[in-house]
Amino acid sequence: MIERMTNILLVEDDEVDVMNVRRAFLKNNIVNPLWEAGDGVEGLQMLRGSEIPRERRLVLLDLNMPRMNGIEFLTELRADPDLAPTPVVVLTTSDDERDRVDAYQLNVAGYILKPLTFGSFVEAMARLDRYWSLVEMP
Amino acid sequence: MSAAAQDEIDSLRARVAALEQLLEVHERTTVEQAERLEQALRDVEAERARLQELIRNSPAVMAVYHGPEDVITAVNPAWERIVGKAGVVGKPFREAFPEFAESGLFELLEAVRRTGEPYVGTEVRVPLERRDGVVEDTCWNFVWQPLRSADGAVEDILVHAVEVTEQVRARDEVEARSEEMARLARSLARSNRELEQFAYIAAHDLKSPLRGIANLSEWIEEDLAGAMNPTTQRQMELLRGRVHRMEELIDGIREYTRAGSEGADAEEVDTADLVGELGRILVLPDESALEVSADLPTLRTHRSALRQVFFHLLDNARKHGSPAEGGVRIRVEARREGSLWEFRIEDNGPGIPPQYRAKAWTIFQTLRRRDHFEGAGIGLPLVRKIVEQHGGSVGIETAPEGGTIVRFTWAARTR
Repeated sequence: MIERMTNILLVEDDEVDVMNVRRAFLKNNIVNPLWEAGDGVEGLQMLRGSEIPRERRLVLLDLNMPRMNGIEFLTELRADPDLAPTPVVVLTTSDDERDRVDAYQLNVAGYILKPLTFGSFVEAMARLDRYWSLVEMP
Repeated sequence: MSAAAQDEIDSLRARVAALEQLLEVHERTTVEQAERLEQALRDVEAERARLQELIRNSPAVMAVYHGPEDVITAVNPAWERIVGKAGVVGKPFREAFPEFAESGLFELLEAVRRTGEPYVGTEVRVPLERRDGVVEDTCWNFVWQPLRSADGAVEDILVHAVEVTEQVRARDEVEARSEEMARLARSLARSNRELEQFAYIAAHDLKSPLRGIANLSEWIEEDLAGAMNPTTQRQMELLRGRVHRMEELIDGIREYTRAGSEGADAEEVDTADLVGELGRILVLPDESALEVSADLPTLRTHRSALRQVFFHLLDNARKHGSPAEGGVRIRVEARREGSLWEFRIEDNGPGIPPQYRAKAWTIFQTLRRRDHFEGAGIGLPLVRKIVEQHGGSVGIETAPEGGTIVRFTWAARTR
């Protein structure tokens, strides 16, 4: 089976949470290219730019962020004809019913609560990686 | 004398006799009639006396207003006692009650006299000057009953009135108070919602830096593996212990503020099943650790609330139960007390000394050093809050063998 690289954009404002993802990738030997954006505005800029390859893009999205939060980011993403099909997985600490409903209204591919311990976060990232390597993308 | 004359005489005699007989009958009848009349008169007198007695003793105010001027011709003792106004007999109604001028009562009385229709007033509010210079707001239930004379004209108006000032005032007060209570309840519900919201947001925002600390400490430890000595190793352990405790406190705040706010419907809950299921979730060491008496009832109640109560009590019993001598043992019993069920959860731990029992129900209080014992001091306060919200009570006792018994009552049927 041919390994297919997924280009991952992490939209996350918390530096420790960014390190968390990086470290979890490292632990799992996930070598996918990982881009980082500090909030929704930056995330959209990067998706619209040429830095990230156009094919096999996946966004890991935090919800609580300054300037443009995750839901606002999703709303703008789905309104942009070029970016609308981009798969997005929400990675958040918010188990607020409203956030969950709003996110799914905006067609997220998944909604994951950040596990409390690093160990379970590593495990979650490993599963996510295995899953997305199987998935056909637009 | 001629035969014809004789006949005439006989005939006259016969007529006289007949007349005499008629007269006698008439006399007898007249006497009887007079006697009957007298009897009727005596009956009427007795009736009048009874009526007067009734009027005199009536707790209701009664009076008669006579003629087109509505002159007060008679009042009963209740009038004197309740309405006051000494010396009004002989005065027209309007003169006796100048304070009624604005109340519309004069016009109403006039209408009764004009139409001959009685007027029935309920809780009519009028200003009344019982004594000179003191006008009070009063309330009355009363009837103005027109009394017609032989020719059909309204001559007198009979008044029958009961003062209800106190009753109306008391009712108004109760209404005002219950309105105030409803307002307070609404405002309380609102501030509870706000508090819940605040606790939710605060808990979330407190937790993210905490997770950062937990992660960073773990990474530092990982990256420094080999360079750490036993002291720094222990310090790292303590650090993460504190983080874990903080997390428990935050979760506790959230659970505590949320408790009871879920508006579920009542359903049939088999408490034996519920306790059994929780025993499995709590991973009790073995089957024999949890002893459930056979009489645990099925209640009609809010499952999630009762589940939370049993969860924390069983979890407490598990944590405090003695691991020595055959391990943790928990007993759950129930007995009916009127419309309530009393549940008793007994452990084989060291028990809680009486002087600490009040403290055990207070949020964030623990009775053991925290670094040596898991527990945020949330379980029992949460249990109490939920139980009390459902109209029950809680208590702590010492078991004959020395362990702790926590008991609580719960309604057999929640409406």
